[in-house]
Amino acid sequence: MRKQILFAAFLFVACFSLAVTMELWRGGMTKDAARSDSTLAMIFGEGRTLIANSFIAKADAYFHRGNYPSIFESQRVEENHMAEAADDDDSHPEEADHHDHSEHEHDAEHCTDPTHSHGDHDHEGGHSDANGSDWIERFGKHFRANKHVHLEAGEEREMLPWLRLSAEVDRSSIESYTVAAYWLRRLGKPEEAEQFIRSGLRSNPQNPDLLNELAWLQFESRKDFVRARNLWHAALRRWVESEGMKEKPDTTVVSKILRGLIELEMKEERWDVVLKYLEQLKVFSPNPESVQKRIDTVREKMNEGR
Amino acid sequence: MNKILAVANVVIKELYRRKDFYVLFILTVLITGLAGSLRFFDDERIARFLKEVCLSLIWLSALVVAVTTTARQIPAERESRTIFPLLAKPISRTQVLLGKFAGCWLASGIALLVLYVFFAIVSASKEHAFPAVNYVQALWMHWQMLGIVIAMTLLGSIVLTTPAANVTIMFVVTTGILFVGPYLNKVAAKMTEPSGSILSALYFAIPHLEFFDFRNRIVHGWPPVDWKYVGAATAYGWAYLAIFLLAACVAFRRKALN
Repeated sequence: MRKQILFAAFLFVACFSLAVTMELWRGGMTKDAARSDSTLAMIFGEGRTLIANSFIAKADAYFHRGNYPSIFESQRVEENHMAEAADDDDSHPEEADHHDHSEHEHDAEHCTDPTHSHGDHDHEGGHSDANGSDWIERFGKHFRANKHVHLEAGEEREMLPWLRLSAEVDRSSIESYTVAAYWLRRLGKPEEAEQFIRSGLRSNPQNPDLLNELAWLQFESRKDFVRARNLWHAALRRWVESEGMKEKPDTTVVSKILRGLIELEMKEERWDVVLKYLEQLKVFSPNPESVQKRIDTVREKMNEGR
Repeated sequence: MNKILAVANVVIKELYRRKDFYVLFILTVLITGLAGSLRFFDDERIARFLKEVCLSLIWLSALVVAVTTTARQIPAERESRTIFPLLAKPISRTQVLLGKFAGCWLASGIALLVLYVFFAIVSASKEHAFPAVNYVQALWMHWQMLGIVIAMTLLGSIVLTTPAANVTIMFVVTTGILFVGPYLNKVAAKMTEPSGSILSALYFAIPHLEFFDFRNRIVHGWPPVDWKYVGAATAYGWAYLAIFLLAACVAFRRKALN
């Protein structure tokens, strides 16, 4: 009898321990699920950033109609045109403060001819020498996509699935949201762009890059200057909070925000404010001389006005 | 020749009697259908994603059919001891092997044809275009690539002890060549001697299956390749195919069957 009671007690303790362990495990699962809130993210676990980046690279490969270097090849010329094109468009046409695009000033905007190739700057052999280094490489060139062309005339939509998947896999992949939103805007889909950015903001609250993208959408697609200004101001505040105190802050986002504000204030002809933002931009710009030129131009305009 | 064709005929019949291809085809159709049902930003004109998914599945299915069908040919005959009555007939070992190869290659070609017809239908339904020349080139080149793989697998089925080991090794080798093969010289250039030279020799020795991969061209709508290059690649493929078949014939003739 005593043995039976002890056995029953043992079973009770075992059941209780199991229940507690299961509860803790379930709690952890729920917490993880809440953090990732995506089935794909749960499946891929910590490797999701890597996979998300490979999807972004895939989208960029689509932007180049499949002509893209592999991981074994140098990516010295072509980093991420798709994203660069998005960045470039954010800057004013008069804005000389481009990123250093000296090697490739042929972003999507400039590439108007569908058969437009870039001569020796072809991607054969993954940006290697134009003719390849051995007969296998040279022969293989005939079977690969080897002309440097970009998607255009609405074909840019073809890369959107990969950007969507990238964001699904890794909700913290800001680039997926901003690049997709940019192209959605260009494709005349501001509603979808806004929804996508807002889904990004839900996962990355108050992210300055996403706020900047939303501001561009309000400014360019909706022509809602007031909302755009507020969003840019919010983005600037958030950037200062997150990056301002760092020793080496990421100045790409703040440059984009300031460029947006400059464009907006120029439209509204508030030259003194334009001047203020240009002075700020000069600090972050990799090309301060060109910003100074713009400052001088604005000053001339202001003097003419007086 | 008739003896070779008779053996090949049996292999082809085996393909449509077995369920492997049907299962793979249905899976391809289902996954493609699932991918096709996905809507990205409410844009129905997005087609390349679906084409890429479908073509990747076709490549995988064709490779599975080719390798698994080929890998079991000789070992199955030996295991069931049907190889003895077969060789008791007036047929040489080389003819049996060539018949097996022809059967597997033709069977893979039939499977490939069905899969590409499905792809063409899917693509046409999305893009409302039918680039027939591109499809013919892609199908032809894909078939040549499978020929090399089948010859390699046939050699493996004689040299290696079990079909499972053969299948695994062939999958690893084929995918390795497809994904890493084109870049071995680049990797070799950064290595120290003698490993750099060994890798470089390997680069020139392996069959470059990437020549036969037209997926990117099909997905992104590139124009057809000049036929003279297709012909040259075909000759290149047949050269490797002949080397592997010759090695398989030599190995099979020396192999003890019991």
